[in-house]
Amino acid sequence: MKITSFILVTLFVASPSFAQVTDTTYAERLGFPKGARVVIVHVDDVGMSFDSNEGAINALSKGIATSCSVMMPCPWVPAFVHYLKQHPETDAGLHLTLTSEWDNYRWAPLSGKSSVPGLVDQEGALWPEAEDVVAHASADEVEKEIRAQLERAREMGFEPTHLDSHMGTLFASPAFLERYIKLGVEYHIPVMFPGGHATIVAKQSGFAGAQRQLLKTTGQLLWNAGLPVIDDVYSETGWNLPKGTPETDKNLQQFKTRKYKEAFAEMKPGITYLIMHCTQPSSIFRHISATGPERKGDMLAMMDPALKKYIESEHIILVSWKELSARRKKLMH
Amino acid sequence: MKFLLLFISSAVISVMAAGQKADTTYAERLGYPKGAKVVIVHVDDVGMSFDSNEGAIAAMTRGIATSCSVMMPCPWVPAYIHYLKEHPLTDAGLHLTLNSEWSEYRWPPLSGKSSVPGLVDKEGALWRSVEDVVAHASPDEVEKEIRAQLERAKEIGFTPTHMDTHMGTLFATPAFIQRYVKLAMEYHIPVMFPAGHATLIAQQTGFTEAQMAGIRTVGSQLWASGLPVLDDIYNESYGWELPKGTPVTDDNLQKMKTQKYKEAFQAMKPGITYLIMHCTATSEIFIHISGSGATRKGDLLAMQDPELKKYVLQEHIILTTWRELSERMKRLVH
Repeated sequence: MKITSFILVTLFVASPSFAQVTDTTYAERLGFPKGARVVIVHVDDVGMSFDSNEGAINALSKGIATSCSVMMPCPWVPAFVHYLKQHPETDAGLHLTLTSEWDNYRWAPLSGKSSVPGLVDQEGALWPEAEDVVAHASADEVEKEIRAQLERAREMGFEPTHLDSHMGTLFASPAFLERYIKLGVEYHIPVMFPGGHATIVAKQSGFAGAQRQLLKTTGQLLWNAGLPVIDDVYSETGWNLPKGTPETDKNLQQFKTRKYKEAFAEMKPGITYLIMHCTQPSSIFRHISATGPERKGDMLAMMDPALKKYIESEHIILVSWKELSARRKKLMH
Repeated sequence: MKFLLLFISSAVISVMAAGQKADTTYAERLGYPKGAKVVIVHVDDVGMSFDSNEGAIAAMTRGIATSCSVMMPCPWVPAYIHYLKEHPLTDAGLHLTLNSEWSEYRWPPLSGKSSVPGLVDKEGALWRSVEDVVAHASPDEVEKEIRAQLERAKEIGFTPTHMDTHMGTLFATPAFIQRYVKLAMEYHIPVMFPAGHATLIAQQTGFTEAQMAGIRTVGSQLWASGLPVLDDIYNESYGWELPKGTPVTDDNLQKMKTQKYKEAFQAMKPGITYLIMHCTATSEIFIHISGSGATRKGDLLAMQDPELKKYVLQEHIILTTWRELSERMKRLVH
């Protein structure tokens, strides 16, 4: 998810504000030690390309990544779902997809143009930008497409551990956000939503008082529905190698490992959801997107023993959505 | 298209029989010299992968291929459409797609599962086999999906020169054929349909004389509606393999395929023959899509082989496009 269009409009605030704002983190409520930094190290965009699948699998099985999410309208989904069936312990959710952002390689909504015309652009694909979706699609169309993506997953025998939002599109309007939260509650699937202190995401998105209050209220709503809630989201932006530095694997790895160390250092106690796009780019990837080196850098950092060592020395706790859900369930009984 | 399952059942025949059996080829009727072998050298599966696009483009611009068709539900369609807009004279049609045949890399119908549930399998994609489509999908669902594919092309600014059928699925039942032919007439787009002497395709598929008569009747209907018609289809190239033990090198693939295509041209009878190929510039990813990379690459290499080009010239074989056939037909009608 590129969370760039994360604009929580204040309208949404009108919803119940019964939430008692406590200073306790969701991490503590879920039984993690007070003061602990708990992190979901999350790979986005699985199923998007063969290279995305390979990158996610490497980062999860040979690196420190703990979770990932799958773009159900994309063509490499069956490959990853077959992998999931062989590796059922994998933490995988749905990367709810309402956009198709590249030029040459694109996908259409699962619901079909005739039932969600507002989600489809002139090329018959999902719109390239979150703003386009806001301008053309109704909340009903968005909900219909989310349900189609959920239904495809379940029909395939893939029970998602969580939901999140490709390019943050579901955070781009209050009406979309409402459907996202509603469906999380209805299907009883945790959603990526920074419902706790939200320190970093507030800084990255420029949230002010009322919006931060809204995050907390919504977090409480999810918690009350019996779902685990995360405290914060860290979405790196614009980490590019300094100009002139050759894009070798070694340089990409060193650079990204350093950046991720800084990210971990910045995190506050609580559960932080760290967004990445680990990819093993093939010779085809540059025809999909120019982001190959960045994505490869993510994968290489995840596999870097230096980063693993750092995590251990800092006593950072890495978790999956599965573990959060199991902890939440224990609290209910 | 893997045409292996082309079986035109006799039911359609009885409905449509009564075709006059003209001995004149459609090539002659379209003004080609008597006795001439006229060939559409056709690349299937465009849009299916990046590699398919690259293969089609190379076969048509640096080789002797003349036409191709695009799978509208596939993710690399926009790339190819952008190419078409830069190269508007390219002969490109719709490879009407009702199947998603590979194991790991798959596409759903454009119409969406809720409107065409019978076209979708447990993985949310189009069925893998032709038989599955026949067993689960209604002709109405098939028609709806074809219209969605036509509509996407139109919306994207791509005017197809013709339509054909991925894996031959639209030839698998009389009801599917009927929709295919009906839509061709409604949209006035020529379709791949071997309605003349059909010598090679009859040999390959074992059509009976009664089936042939039915096919010719449909051909007459297409012709009467103002569309150009093919005499024959040659569809053997997908199964051509290197002899066991021969290393799968570019050189060996090219030699084998060039030789086989020469034999194919040789076997063709006078008239318009539609030659089906799957030229692909296979990347290291293709193996994860399909095990057919070698035969597809061989097609591309043969099309680019100066040796094959020389043979075609020597034998006075006329290579043509759907665009040219349509223009000739138009002149006849006016």
